[in-house]
Amino acid sequence: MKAILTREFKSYFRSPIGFVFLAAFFFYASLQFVFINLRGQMTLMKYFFENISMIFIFVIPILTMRTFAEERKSKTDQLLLTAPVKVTDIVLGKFFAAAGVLLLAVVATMFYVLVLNSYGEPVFSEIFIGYLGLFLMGTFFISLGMFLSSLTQSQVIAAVSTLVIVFFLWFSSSLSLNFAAMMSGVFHWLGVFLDWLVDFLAINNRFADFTLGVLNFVPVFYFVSLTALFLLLTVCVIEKRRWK
Amino acid sequence: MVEIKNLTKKYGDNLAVDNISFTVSKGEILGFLGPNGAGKSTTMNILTGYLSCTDGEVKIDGYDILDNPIESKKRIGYLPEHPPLYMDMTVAEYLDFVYELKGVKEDRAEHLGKIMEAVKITDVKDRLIANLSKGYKQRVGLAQAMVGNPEVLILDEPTVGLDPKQIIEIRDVIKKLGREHTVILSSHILQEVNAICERVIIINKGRLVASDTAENLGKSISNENKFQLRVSGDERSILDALEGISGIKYIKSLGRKEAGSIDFVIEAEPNVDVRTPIFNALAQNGLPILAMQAMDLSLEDIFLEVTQNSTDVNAVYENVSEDEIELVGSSKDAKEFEEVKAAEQAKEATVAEVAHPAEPAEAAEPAPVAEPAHKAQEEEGEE
Repeated sequence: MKAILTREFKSYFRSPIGFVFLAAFFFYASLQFVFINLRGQMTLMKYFFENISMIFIFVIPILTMRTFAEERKSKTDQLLLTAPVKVTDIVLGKFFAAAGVLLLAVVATMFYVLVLNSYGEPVFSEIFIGYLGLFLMGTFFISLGMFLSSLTQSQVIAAVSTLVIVFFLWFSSSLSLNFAAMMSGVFHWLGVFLDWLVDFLAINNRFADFTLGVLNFVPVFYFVSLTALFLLLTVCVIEKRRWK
Repeated sequence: MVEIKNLTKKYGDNLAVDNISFTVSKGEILGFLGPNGAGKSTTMNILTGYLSCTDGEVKIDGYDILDNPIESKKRIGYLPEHPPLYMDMTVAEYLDFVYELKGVKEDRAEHLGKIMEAVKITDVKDRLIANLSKGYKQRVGLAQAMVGNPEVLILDEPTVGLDPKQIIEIRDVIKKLGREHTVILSSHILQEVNAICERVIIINKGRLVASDTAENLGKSISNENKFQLRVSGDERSILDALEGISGIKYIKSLGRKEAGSIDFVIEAEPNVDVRTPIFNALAQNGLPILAMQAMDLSLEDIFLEVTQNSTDVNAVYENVSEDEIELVGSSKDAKEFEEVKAAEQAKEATVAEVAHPAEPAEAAEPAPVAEPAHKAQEEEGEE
């Protein structure tokens, strides 16, 4: 796993991909920091977190589109899959490499906290929890993107499908229309189910706890388990392909 | 060392590999021969654990590839049809990665240095793989398979895309490797298998159709008694002189190859030596024999023979690639093929004297089968 992790991490910075990701992330994060925290003159980072999580829609596909699609296209998957390593190790290696790049981006924005600290009195524990939430949400999107990348040989398809699904997940909280109230009779339970589904998918509702600086078990479990689920699905897709 | 039992692979309803069994012992170089689409690559992908078989079992050094993939994969070095190279890495970085990936225990610098030396890539080790020529990429691919000194090397068409000089070099490397390793090498180039391998397995349409040494294959398949003759004089009188010699099945004139002489292909009844009567008859008529040469069955003949016998030609037409149609199609009319073959061999006989003795593949060969080889050689560009 270590060999794959190291190679993947380095390869992000051998090509422009890693730099494009970091540049896009920093650009947007700085913009938000300047407008929300500096011009708004507040040490509360809630709105900063809420806003910058949106950039994930556009930058996460950059990180994940090539993970498996490119390997298959260039046939380098033959090297990995015939080497004495488990598929789980391959998937985890790639996941941690992408998560590492994400971590780099997230940690680097902590510079803003230092800026806030010199002009005000930020609450560090709340901010740290916000960062944790940001990172966990990002890793979930990475595992999702990797899963989609393992389904295709085309990086473009992998990127676009990741973008669309993350986009949908991110905005699905605005779909909360209270279906239960709209539907009556037999359909009432369908409405209840739809409400539950929308709330379940509405990733921002889970993320909200973090941005408020509250560390709850449920949202942490939500992100970690979904991440694990999609990594597992990725392993299954790759394992299953051999049997075709 | 490598045991394959009743290997079967289905892609949907399509039977890619059909009940193949063979074993390869330690230190043996096995040639795996078959037309395009015969199932060579599929078989190799199963051997290396990249694909799983539908039925049957593969054991590497006693370890089952499905039950104990890690242990068996440790013993395999694989060069797939397309070398699995990361274009954004330098050669040294790439081999370093493979070293780490395979978890090799040997001293890194020494081990990798030795491998790079063996396949002659030391001088390009700091260059990006993307910028290497096809020949060098192929060698890096071979180097990758050698990392970790695996006991079994599985090489899928290792010389494709190389120029003649490189082909000879790579063949030498493989031969050297064969002294300490078990090598399974696939190819659709018959000369290559002939030049490197001790034992040959021919598969066609997923089925194993022949398995023996190249020599034995020749003996068992045909006991044709054929040779080629070059006689000084005019065709009419030569044919007249040869008429009446008992045991000759047919005489075919190949026309003038050298000023003042005619070439013939003569086939005699099996186990009848007609050479002395021919000499006497021609000598009596004052027609000097300039050359007489037995025509041994080459691997090509064997190949065509077994692949033809093993399949219904019409069935082959239905679902094979164009290459194969060309191959099978050209061999359909065996008579016609013999002519081409004989003509080419006549050319070869003269060329062979001048040609470098170590370059069997580069001598003139019958057009239909050898074509991919020539094409591949032409394609090899400069770096």
